[in-house]
Amino acid sequence: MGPALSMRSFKRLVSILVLLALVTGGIGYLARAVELPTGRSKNGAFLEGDREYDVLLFGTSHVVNGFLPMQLWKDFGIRSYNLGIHGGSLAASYWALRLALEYQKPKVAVLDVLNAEEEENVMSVGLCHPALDAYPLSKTKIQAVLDLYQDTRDRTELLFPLDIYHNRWKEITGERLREPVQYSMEKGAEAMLGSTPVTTPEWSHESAGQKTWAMGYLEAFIHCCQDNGIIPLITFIPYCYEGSQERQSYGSEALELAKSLGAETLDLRNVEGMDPAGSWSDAGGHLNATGARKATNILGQWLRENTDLPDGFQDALWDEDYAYYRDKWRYRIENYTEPEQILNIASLLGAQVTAEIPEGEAPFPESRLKALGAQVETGLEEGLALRFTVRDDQGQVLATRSYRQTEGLSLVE
Amino acid sequence: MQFHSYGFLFFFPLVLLLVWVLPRRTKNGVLLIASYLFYASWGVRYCLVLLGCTLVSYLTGLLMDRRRWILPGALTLIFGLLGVFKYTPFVLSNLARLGLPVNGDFRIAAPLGISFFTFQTAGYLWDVSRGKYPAERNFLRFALFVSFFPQLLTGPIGRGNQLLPQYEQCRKPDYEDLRAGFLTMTWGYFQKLVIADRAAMLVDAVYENYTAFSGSCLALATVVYALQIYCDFAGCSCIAIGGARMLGIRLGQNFDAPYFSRSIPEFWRRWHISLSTWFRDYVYFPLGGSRCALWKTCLNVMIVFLISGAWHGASWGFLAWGALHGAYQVFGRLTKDSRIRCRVWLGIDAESSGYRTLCTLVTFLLVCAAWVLFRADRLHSALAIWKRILLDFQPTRLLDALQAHSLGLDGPDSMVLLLGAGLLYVVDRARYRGTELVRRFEMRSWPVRELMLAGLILLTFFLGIWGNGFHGSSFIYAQF
Repeated sequence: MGPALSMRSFKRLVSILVLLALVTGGIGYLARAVELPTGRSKNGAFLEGDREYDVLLFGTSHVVNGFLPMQLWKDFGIRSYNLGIHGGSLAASYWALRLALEYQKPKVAVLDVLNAEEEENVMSVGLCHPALDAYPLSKTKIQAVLDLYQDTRDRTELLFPLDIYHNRWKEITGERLREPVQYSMEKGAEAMLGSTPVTTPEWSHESAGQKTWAMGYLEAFIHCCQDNGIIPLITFIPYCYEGSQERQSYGSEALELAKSLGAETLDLRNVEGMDPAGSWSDAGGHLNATGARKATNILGQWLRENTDLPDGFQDALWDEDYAYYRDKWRYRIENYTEPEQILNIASLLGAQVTAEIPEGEAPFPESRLKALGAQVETGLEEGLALRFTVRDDQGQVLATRSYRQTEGLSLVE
Repeated sequence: MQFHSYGFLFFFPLVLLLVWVLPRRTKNGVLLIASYLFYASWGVRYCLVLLGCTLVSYLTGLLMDRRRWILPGALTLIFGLLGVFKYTPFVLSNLARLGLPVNGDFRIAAPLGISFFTFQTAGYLWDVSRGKYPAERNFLRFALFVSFFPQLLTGPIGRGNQLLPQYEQCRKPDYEDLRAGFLTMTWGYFQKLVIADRAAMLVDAVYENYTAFSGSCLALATVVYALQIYCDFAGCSCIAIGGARMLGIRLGQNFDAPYFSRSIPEFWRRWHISLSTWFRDYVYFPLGGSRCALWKTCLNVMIVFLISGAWHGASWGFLAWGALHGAYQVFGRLTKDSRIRCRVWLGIDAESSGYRTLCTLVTFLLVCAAWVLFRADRLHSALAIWKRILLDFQPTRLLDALQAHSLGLDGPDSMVLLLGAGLLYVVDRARYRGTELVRRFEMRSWPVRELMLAGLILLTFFLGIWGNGFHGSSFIYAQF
């Protein structure tokens, strides 16, 4: 009776364990397949923990598009990661810092002050997912979610993303199941390749004279940095779309507040080197790669002049990462066709672009080509509207493109 | 706290754990506290209604031996409670329409599950008064009998002679209870989240804008609604029955493959069994049942189904639904002999599979026709939908709508609904032939069993309509 009973108990235990293993394994496997990949692809590389970062970059899409960690390393030997959040509030940036500190302790934390005018958290839950999903559940993550959102359903889906992602089963493909999520080769940044002419930016340096809810989180960010021995650097990445002056005034107010709290500040709106021509992918909102290159250069110079960050050029892992990054962009410049794309990628690669245009009025104006970094030559043969030759720093031709004028510009194969 | 809420997913295992680890004698106390906490999650004030109903029926049960006059008073009080909460707004709005000086916009929030626990206590009092079993003297056990949380909101409506001995026995759940209960619950969640809530997307899209759809689309939506309401309510019952079983309490079966019925009376023996048998035992039989003149039997049937319609909700649509089902039964009784003669004259074998399939199909279509009254927001909408189905069928428009996915479901969701319905068909067909889901499941070898159960859980988890932004609907019968 005894052995039979214990054998039955053993079988039951095994049954339960097998069921638990099948269910948890199945959920774990399928959870990877249905998760929104943007979160892990953007910040997954940061969380892996096998790279060192001396500078962390926080803020909104202006930071994601405006500061390029790979350029910061290539040009200045500074190892950084871009933890900017598309549409992120200053509150979300504060919590992004708190979460990041659980993985790395940087020497400098950069925060851009866009959205300093907010009086409440208007950031949609959907935008918060890419910022938080990559982080496993932790006390800080729970605190962040409880602070940012009041609705129980919103909190639930942020703490337990399968709450909404389980319904993405329709998007599961064999490829998706086999291949892991690709991490960002740009270390969290996303260089934009479009270009919209902005010739006369309207800056507003007046302060709003009013402290806002969002500025409370700016204070918290600065205090958190100071408590952890990190240099807080508060920046203002330029934007000048129509009607943005009032918004800019809150940014200026935030910079003043940051200064008063002992933080370093860097206003990129009218510093030397931040030539507005050809710098925006949209009408004065987000910097394109050409603009980001300029902004990153200014940030790098400031960091080198004002801090004693270690020389990251010796880091072999970063060397590997940059080689991969460079090859990817080279591949793209060989395959992309739009003139703006070619010029912006050339800017990222530090490549020389020679643009040939016909005599007289050209469909792609000389001033725009120059603003995007091309050397312009006239005298292109009849029938063509534009020809590019892109060479790397060794003089090797990376790409050539010829365009004919139709309704717009069409590529000549 | 609904059965498919996060709250319940934490609450239920906690209660189960307490029942499991605490001494056996504390089980009823734990379950009673859990039941009141569960009910309080809908509003603490509702607990007072539940407690009041419990006290009235408990004291009435005790005092009835010597004071038999107390029963009508108690039943009036219990049904009065139900009437005040459920029918006052309906009565006032109709009186206002007739021009009487009353507040036609009067609204009162009815405590959830009031139709279930009032019927359960009324049934108990009736049984005790007829000497079927003695009154329960232990208040704790009686309070648990009225409020046991798995069945509190949507039934099944329990009977005193089934449940009170189980509470007295205070048995701890064993391994078989846990396994069978868990499987039943999982199947209930599958029916609710994968089938019912997905079907609701199509039904809502069509019924809420019925004038834009052809009769064929409305007919399809009605058939899908039949699937939705069955899976919604049967799913809810499975969760209740499974949950109770895991806690060591066996509740009665509430559904038994109703859409395989070959007649309307058979349908009612298989649909919402606990309510149907309640009406049979406490209304139909006391009225004389079928042991009287044919006209009286027909009248009794109509009374029962009109009350059943009213029980489901205070609206003319529900009353019409009940009346139609009553009419089906009366018509069936009146034409029974002629139909048999006709079948014999045509030489049709009543046991042939073709005839049985035809009977099942006709019964299903009659039930579906009545569901239009149940689902449409108003009586005149239901009439308009019937009219469209009969006079504006246009099958090509259904094909166009299916191709364009304009019926509220895209291709993958339609496929999942179809597969879910297929699985339901297999399970119910086996049940109709006498093999219970749990028994069928236990016949497999253990690795297959665990694999099947894990598959069902994963399918429910990933294909279910739940979570923020997916608008899974509440259990339909919770509103009754």
